[in-house]
Amino acid sequence: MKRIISKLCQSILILFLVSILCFALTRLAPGDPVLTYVQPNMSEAYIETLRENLGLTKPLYIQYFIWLGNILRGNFGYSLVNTRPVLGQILERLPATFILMGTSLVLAVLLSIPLGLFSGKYKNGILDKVTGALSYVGISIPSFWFGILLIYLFSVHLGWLPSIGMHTTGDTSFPDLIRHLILPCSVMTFLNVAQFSRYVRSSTITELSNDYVMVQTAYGMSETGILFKHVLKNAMLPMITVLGMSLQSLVSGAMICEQVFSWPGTGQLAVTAVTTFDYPLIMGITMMTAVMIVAGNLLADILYTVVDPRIRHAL
Amino acid sequence: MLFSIAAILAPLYPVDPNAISVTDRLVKPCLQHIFGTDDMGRDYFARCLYGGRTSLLIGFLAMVLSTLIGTVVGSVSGFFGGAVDVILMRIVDALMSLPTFLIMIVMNAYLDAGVKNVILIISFLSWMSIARIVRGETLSVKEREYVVYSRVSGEKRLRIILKHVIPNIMPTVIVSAVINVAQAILMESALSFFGLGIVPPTSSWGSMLNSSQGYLTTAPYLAIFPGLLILLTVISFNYVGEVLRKVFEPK
Repeated sequence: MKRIISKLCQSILILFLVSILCFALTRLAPGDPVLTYVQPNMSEAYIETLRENLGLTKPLYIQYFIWLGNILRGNFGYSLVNTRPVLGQILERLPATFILMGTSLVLAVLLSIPLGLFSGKYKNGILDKVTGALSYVGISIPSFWFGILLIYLFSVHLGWLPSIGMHTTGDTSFPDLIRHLILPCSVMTFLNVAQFSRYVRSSTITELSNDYVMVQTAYGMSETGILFKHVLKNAMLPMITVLGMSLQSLVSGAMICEQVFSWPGTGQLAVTAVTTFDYPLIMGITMMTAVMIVAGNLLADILYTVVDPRIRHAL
Repeated sequence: MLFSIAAILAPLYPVDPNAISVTDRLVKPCLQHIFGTDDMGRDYFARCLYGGRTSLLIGFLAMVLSTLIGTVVGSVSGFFGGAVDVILMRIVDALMSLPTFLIMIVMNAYLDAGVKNVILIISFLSWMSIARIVRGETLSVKEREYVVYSRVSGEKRLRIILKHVIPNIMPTVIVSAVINVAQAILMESALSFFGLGIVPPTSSWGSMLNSSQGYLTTAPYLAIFPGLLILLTVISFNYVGEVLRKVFEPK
């Protein structure tokens, strides 16, 4: 319990630091935010009042505390480009990202556990070699290039699947969504499986060398029985950490992948925000992502203690 | 390794990568131009070689810089412990909680695009994991007898770090540095792919992919070659890293 509380305090401290960093990064950037409001027929005096109204004339640290206070009350400010609330804009993009990242995370877990488990069990076997090679490709491939290749192959060359967007215009049916989902989702799934299966494989190998496996083999338990009943449970543990780290992607999306496939999620929103110097939006997305990253790590830590009695009792 | 050598020797290749030939636009790969030519009739093989120089240069320099920062922060944090350790590690945690790619494009938006700034940005965003690893190693090295002995005998702390701690954690640092090169090349290519990092006339594999996008239907090989080169380079760095790890492991 004590450990969890200290972790919680640490997380809050980290978020505080992140907020300072994030504020500094975006506020110190060139590009005068007031200019996005300025129209040619405005007088100098009017521009000055505008600047004051936006709170841009106050000292930076006061601006920071105002901003922090607002965020804590759930007010992420308004977009400089279209003056709509930042939070609303992020929330309306969330479902798209959630569909894409959620599907690929679930698929990745479902695929990587058996792959990792059997690669670890039959170490240096054919399956292990193939999975190993593929996962090497997976962690080394530039995701945008992989995306382009898939677009070329399936959309341009074969014409089977749509290359961009989430829906065909005017068609919001479920099959249409699935057709749009296949390409970006397979990119993300492939990248995730490449990572996850390596973790599962190495923890399977470690688990198989443990004494309890030998004891059970000596008692005459079948190999598959041991593998699925005992090794699987323990080999899943590192997955908690990995999934904790991936939690943030549900919110922040995959900027590169979403951009390549024009998937209307938060990742794409972030890229747009940066290119239009939309500070409140950038800060909002960065903060949300940071909160999710920290929360993911914290959650993984807590889950670990709950699931693994060895750690629980060691405290 | 082969790619590095090829990139260093690039000037020996007799074709000028910027030579524009109106008649040879978008020639398919053939004997004369083994990778074909691009939209302005430039020899694509030569461009790939020079693009590779930029990509590898960025990869290496970013690695050197981030390893340097990471090692200094990590060893200081691990060696001194206490408040220094707590503060430095929280900063590392905070930086690691930032969405890397987003910060990368934000920073890129207010630094001028160019090789130097891309290196700076990538190093700034990639030293944290090395710092963590180095800190962990330093903590264990710190307790070894010869280090304890030299502390008792009153050697200066900085000297102990340089003389005893750093040499001992070198293997770990080298492994993560090699893997960092791979990461840096990937980051650079993603940045340039969005038309942000490296801008014309300098080319890197990423920016070549960016400009190839418009010709996906007519000249897909323009997209395939640079991507394949990135993939192979990154794989080989990751592989070298893995092999080194196995070599250094004391088992």
